[in-house]
Amino acid sequence: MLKYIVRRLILLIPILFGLSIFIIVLVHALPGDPCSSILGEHTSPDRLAACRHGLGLDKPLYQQYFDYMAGVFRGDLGTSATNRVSVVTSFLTRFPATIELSLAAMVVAIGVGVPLGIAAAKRQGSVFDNFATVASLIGISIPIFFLGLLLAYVFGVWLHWLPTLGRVNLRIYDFSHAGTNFLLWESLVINHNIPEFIDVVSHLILPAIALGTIPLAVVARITRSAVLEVLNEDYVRTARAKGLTSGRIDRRHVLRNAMLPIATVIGLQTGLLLGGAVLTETIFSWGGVGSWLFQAAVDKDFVVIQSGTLILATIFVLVNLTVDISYAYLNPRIRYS
Amino acid sequence: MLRLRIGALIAAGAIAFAACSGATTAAPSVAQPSTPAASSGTGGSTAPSTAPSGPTPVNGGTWIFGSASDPTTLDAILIQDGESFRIAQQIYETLIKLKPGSASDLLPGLAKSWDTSSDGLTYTFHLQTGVNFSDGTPFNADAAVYNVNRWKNLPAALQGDDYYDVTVFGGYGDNSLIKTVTKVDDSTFSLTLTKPKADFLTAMTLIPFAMQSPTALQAHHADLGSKDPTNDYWQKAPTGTGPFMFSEFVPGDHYTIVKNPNYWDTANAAHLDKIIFQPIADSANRLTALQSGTVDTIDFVDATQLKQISADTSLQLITRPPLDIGKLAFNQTQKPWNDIKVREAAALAIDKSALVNAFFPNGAGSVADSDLINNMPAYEPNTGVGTFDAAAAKTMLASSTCPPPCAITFWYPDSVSRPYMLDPKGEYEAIKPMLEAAGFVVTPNHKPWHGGYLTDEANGVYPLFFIGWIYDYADPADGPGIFYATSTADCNGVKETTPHNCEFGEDNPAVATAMAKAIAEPDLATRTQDWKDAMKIINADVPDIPLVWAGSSLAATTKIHGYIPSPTQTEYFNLVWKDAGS
Repeated sequence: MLKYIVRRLILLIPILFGLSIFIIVLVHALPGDPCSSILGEHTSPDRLAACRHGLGLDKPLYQQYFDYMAGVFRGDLGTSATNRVSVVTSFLTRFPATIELSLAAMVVAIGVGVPLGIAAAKRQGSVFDNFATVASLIGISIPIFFLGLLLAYVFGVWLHWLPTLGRVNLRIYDFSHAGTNFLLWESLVINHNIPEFIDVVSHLILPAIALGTIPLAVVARITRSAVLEVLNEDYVRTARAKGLTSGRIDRRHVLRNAMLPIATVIGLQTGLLLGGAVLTETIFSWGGVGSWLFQAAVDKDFVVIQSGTLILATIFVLVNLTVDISYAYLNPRIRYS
Repeated sequence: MLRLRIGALIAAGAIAFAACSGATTAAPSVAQPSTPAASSGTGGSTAPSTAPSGPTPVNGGTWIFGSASDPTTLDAILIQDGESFRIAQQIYETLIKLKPGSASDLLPGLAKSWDTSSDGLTYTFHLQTGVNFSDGTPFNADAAVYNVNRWKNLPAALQGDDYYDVTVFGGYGDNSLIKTVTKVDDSTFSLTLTKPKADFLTAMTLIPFAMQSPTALQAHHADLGSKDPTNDYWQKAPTGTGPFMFSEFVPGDHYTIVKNPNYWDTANAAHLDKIIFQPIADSANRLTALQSGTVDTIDFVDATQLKQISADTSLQLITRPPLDIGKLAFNQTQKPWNDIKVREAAALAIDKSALVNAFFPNGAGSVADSDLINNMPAYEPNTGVGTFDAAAAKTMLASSTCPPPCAITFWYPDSVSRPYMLDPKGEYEAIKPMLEAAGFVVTPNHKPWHGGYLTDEANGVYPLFFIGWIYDYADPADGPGIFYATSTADCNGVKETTPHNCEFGEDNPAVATAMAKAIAEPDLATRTQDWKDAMKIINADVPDIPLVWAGSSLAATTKIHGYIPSPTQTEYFNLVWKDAGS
C-alpha cells in the first residue's frame, strides 16, 4: 500500500509540470493582461509598457515560465497583480470557506442522493423510480446560476426565511478574533455558541443546496445503478434464500458491494467541488477559492490563475488518492501493488 | 482609467488660484465650512458635516454596505480603485477636504488653514492641533512631513503600484513636482513645488494624499512592498485620523471598520458603531441582498433596476450627479476617418436621444454633446456638428472621400459594463442601422474589455470604437487634457518621433497649444475661458461623437439617513445614521 501511495505521489510531479505548462500557455494565449485591468481606460502606451515591465510580462513566455517555476521551487507561488497579496496567503484565508461549503454540499448530495438511489433501485420501474430518474436528470441539467438566483429570491426576498449571502450575520456575530476561518468549528467547538452555530448553518443552506444539486443527482443515479447491479448478484439471492432479513441483506451485502462506484463518484465530486464552486460562491458572495479564481480570471491576474490552479489540481489528485486508498477498506479483496 | 473610478477632485481651481495670487488663505474662498470655527480658519471642527434637517440622527448600529468587490489596497498613496477609495475615505483624512456633495467646494481638513507664496510655489499648512492617529500616536508636522516625503520619495518597492502620486506629481525623487517639504513648528509645515501647479490644492483632497500614521507604516513594513511577507500594513493596520478605524478584513467576505472613539473632531464624530463592506460582484445579487435585508445599502445599481427600486416603498434611490461621458470615437489617422466629412456624417447619423432612452432609461443618463459634462464651468453647448439628421448625414457622406457604400469597422468591448456604457453590444446593434441609413457598411468587431480591448484602443489600433471616461474631478484637464495629450510613445509598435496622440490620432497642433495654455493658467476665470476656447478647437475637429452623460446610483433601505451622494464619490460615512433598532 505504501509503495502504491508513493508511486501515486511521484506521478503527481509530471502531472503538475504538464499542467503548469498548459495553464501558462493557455492564460497567455488569451488576449489582454493584468495591466489593462489595473490601469483602466485611457491609459497611455508608455504606462502600459511600464506596467508590463514591472510585472515581467514583457519577457518571452518561456522566461516567464522559468521565473515562475523558480519561484514555485522556492516556495513562492507569487503575488496577485491586482491586490498585491501573496497567493498562498489568499488561498489559505479562503480555502476554509470553500471546504465548509463543499462538505455541506456533499452532505446534501450524499444525504439525499444515496437513499434516493437505493429506494429507486429497490422499486425499479415504479412511479417513484421514474420520479427519481426525472428528478436526477433535472438536477444534472439545471444551471447552478439559475438555481442559485431562484433559491435566493424565493427563500431570501419572498419568504425571508434564509440569508442570501455571506457566511454569518455580521450584525450580530463577530469572528474577528477566531483562530481559523472554519466558522462551523469556531462557533460550535471553540465558542460553544449554539445560536451562532445555527446562524452559520442557516447561511450554508442555500449555497449548499445550489452547489450540491448536481452531485446529488450524480450520486443518486450511480447509487441506483450500482445497487441494481448488486441486487441481481447470486450472493444476494443466496442470502435471501438463507432467510436473512431485508435490512441485513441491504447493509451487509448490497450496500457494502455497491459502495465502490459510489465512493468513487463521491470522491470525484468532492474534488471537483473544492475547486469548482465558482458560480455558487459568486452568487452567494461566499468568500472562497472559487470566487477568488473567478475574480482573478476577470482581472487576468495570471499568477493567481496559475498558482491557484496548481494548488487545486494538487488537492484534486490527493482527494482521488484518498478515495483509491479507501477502496481497500471498503473491499478487502482489493490489493494495491 | 481606474477600475471603478472614483473621482475625487474637483474643478476647484478656485482655491489654487487664490493661492497662486499670494493671498494668505485661512479657508478657501469658495468653501462653505460647516462650522464657524472652520470658516474663520482658526481651527476647530472641520470634518464634513451637513446642516441638520429632518429627524435627529440616532447614534449606534451596524451598517452593512453591499460593495462590488474587496478593496485592493489601503496604503493610501497606492489606492486607485473605487472600493478602496470608499473605505479609505472613512479611516483617513486629507489636509483639505471637499464639502459633502460638492465637486468644487473645499473645506479645511487636517490643515485648518494655509498660505501660498506669491510665486505659487510654496504652500504653508497650519495643522489642526490635538489630533491623534487611531493608534494613539500624534498627528503633527513631523507626521505630515513624513507622509509628504513618502509621496516624493516613494519607496522603490512601491513604485509602479501607485497611480495618483505619479499623475499629480509627475514622478519620484528629483522627478517629483515636490521640491522640498520642511517642518516649521509642531503644527506648521511648508511644501515647495518645482513649478506652479494650478490644481495642487484641489489634488490634496484626493484620498491617496491622506495622512497615515508613520508608526504604523513602519511597524508593518509598508515600504517593503507587497511581495515582502512582513508587510501586512493595509490588511492588518491601516491607520489614519478619520472618524472610523480598521477592525477586520476577511478577503472575499467582508471588510469591517468601527467608530473611532477618540476622534479629534467630536462635533463630527460618526453616528454608526460599525460599517461592514460585503463584496457582491453581481448587481442582481446586490439588489437581492438589499431586498432580503441582508445588506442596508448597495452601490452601482443597474439602470434596468432603477424603476423597480423606485417603486419599492421600503427602498430609496440615491443618485449621484453625472460625471461620466460615454462616446463613439474615431482615430483620425485611419481611413476613412481621416476625412472630417466622414466623421461629421457619422455624427449626424446617430440618434442619440433614441440611444439614451433605450440604454439609459429612468434618468440613468442624458444626451451628451461634449467631452465635458454640462455641469462644468468650462462647458458650452457644442455647435460644431448639428444634431441627428439622417438626410444631412447621407448628403455629407456622399460628398466625402468615402461615398456610399462606405465600409467601416466598428469595435465594441465584450465582458464589461461601465456606467457610461452599460450594454456595449446592444448599443452597437442600435447604432449600426443608423450608420447604414447614412450609407456606411458596418463590419462589427469586438474584444474583451480586459482581454485586449483597452490595450489596443490605447495603442490606436481601432478606427471607430466605444470608449468613455469617469472623471476624477470636474476639470477638463482630467478629461480632454488626457484624451488628446500627445507623447512620443510607440503607437501600436510604430516608433513615433514627434509628439503624437495614439488613441484618437488628434494631432492638431492648435489643440495641443490651446490645452497646454489652459492647463498652465492659474487664474480660474481665465482658465475656464481657455478651456472653452480649447474645446471649440477640439469640437471643430470632431474627434468623437459624445453619446451620453451618466452618473451612478446607490440604493438603500429607508432606514438609512444622511447619505450625501457626490459626483466624485467622495462620500463621508460619519454623516450616515440608521433608524434606532434597525
